[in-house]
This record gives sequence, C-alpha cells and structure tokens, in this order.
Amino acid sequence: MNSRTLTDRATLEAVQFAVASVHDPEYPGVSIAELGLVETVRVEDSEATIDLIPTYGGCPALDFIARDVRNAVMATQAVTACTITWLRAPIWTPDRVTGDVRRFLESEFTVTLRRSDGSLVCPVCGSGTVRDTAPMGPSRCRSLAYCDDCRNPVEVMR
Amino acid sequence: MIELSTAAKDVILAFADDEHMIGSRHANWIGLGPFLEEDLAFCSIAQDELGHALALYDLIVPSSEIDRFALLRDPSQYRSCTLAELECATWDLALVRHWLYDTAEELRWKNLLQSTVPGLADLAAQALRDEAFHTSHAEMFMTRMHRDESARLKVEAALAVLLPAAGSVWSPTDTEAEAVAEGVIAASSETLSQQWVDTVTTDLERFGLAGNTGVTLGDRTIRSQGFESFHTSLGEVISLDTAAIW
Repeated sequence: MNSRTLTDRATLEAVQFAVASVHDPEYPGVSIAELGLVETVRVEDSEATIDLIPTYGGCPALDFIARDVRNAVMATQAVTACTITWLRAPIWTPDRVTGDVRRFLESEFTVTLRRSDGSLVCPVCGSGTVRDTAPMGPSRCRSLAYCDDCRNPVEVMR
Repeated sequence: MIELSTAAKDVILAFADDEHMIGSRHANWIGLGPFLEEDLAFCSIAQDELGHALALYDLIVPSSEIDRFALLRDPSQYRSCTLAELECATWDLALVRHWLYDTAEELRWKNLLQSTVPGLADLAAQALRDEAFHTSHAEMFMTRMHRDESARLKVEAALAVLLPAAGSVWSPTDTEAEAVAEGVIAASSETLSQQWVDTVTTDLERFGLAGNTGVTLGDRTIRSQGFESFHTSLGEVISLDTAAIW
C-alpha cells in the first residue's frame, strides 16, 4: 500500500468521522448517521461529495443540517471543498435508524419506532398494548399512539 | 437545472402552484385548530404541501429564484386551481377541502411515478409516503362525522359549498396532450378525474354523507375570488426586502 493510498484513506476517514459527528436538530444527542440520513461520503482530489437522504422532502431542517455537515467537514481541513446533495432516492424509512439509537430515542425522547412486523412497544413501560391514535403527530416526522397499560401517550417516528 | 419541454413545465407549474396555495391556506390554521393535536397535525400537512411545492418549483426555476417566483409573480401568471386557492374560513370547510384535495393529490402523484422527467418519479414516490398520512388523517375525520348529527350537517353543508369547485383540481394545462405523449404524465386529467369521482362517491356513501359529485373544470389562467388579497398577504414579508436571503 503506497503512501498516497494511506493519505486518501485517512482523509476519507476524517471526513466520514466529521459527517457522523453532526447531530440532528430535532434529536440532540443523535447523529444524522445513526438516523440513517447519510447515504454516501466520497473524497476525490481533496473535494468531499456527500449525499444525504431527508426523512421527508419538506423538512425545514435540511438547510441547517447541510450547513452543519459542511462546517464539520471543512473544519477537518482535510479537504478543500464540500458538495452536499439531498437525494430523492432511496426514500428514508425508519428501518434506516440503527439499533442502539432506537433505545436512546425511547429513553430520552419517549419516541419509539415500529418493529419490522408493524407492532409497537411502549417506550415507557414496555407493554405491547400500544394503539395508534393519530397519523399526524406533534412534529412532521412523528405520529401519535397511546399505551393502554401505563396510560402514556407515545410518539412514533415515521 | 434540466432542460424541459413546455408541456412538462406547464404540468409541473400547475401542480407546484396548487401545492403552494393549499399549503399556505392550510397554514392559516396554525394556532387556530379546533384542538391542540389537530392544530399541529394540520400545520404538519401544510408543511408537507409546501415542501412538495418547493421540490416541484426546483425542477423549473433556479433555486435562488424560487422564493421570488413563488411569491411575487403577477397573479395572472399563477396556474393554481380554485379548490387550492379558496379561503376556507371555517374548520368544516378546511377539513372537507383537505379531504377532497388530498384524494386528488394522491392520484396526481401516482400519475407521475413513471414520469420521463428526470427526478420527478423519485419525487412522486417520496411524496406518496406523505400522502398516505394525509389521506388517512382526512379519512379519520370524515368517517366519524356522520355519528354526530350537528357535525354531519356541518360537513354536508361544507360539501355543498366545495363539491362544485372541487373538480377545478382537474383543469388540464393547455399543453396536456403533449405532456401525455411525452410521458411526463401517464394519464390525462380527464381519466384521473373519473377515478377521483368514483373514489369520492364511494367514500361519501361509506361515510354516510350526502353530496353530489361531478367535475366542473375551471381555467387555470384565471384566479379565483379572494386570490389577490391572499397573494398580497403571502408576499408581505418578502416584499420588505426582496434582495434579502432568508
């Protein structure tokens, strides 16, 4: 492996690390990588190209996230330019959220995600008797449900 | 920006203006919804529609120009339909319009899933994910209205006002035949309008609500009553400083 390759790899890793360090404005403490917003990170000729996936197209936070990513990438001083694109495909789904962060979302935000079979588990008491109450919730990316066991409202990331 | 035919631009502009108008009208309910959750839900739906409008404008207008294009055009240059432009000053009107419009909107996005316009099919797939929530939200209310006599009467009165205007959403662009030939849209507005009438009629029966469905087309080059003052209010902030970057 020549030094050129090693340098390229170090640069790419620095950029990847910077991108992964950016937090989602809606969920402080949760990175955009953990939420599955990062599709590709490439570095070519000292220029970074980053493709991101919005949770939904009209999200007002897109400009803020792109700005934070750009600032984080440029702060590494590993690249001379950074191009960020919001992709229309593939479409973001809750499946893109990584396992560990699901538990964090449950404990910190009482926000839960549907299991692969479509069922819901209460983030407060762990009961499976959670029923959907409203498709549109308190923010654009959440719907509302209710736990009949512990009588808590539950927000579902969708 | 990609080079598009006039027919493609016309279709995209009409849809974008509809989404812009309905999103802005829905947004008028922020802080005024009948209860807190519904206030938030309606404002989320408004946000989605404005997001769709932005994504559609982005296909036909340079990004830096979108705000001025969306807000400061002369009224004669808008191509929105009456159903999207109408002021719905009571909650029953706003709710019924939301149901009628989103039932149509879902069909319109599906009609773009195979579009030859680069990026439009992907956008349609993304928007349909939002629409599933909008239509289920609207339906959740509509299915419950017949259970309470006073609510049913209000919704039926709203239907009587809105159904005659609702078909305006299917007013075709002047160049629609070319748009179909080019594969911009799969089916004509007329074909979709028939599907829409069938759906709306079946749904009304299922909801136990009375209303006469039918399609009276409008003219997208003519603005409906009340547009001018709404347009002025939409442009109030940007007009303070048209060169500012928001």
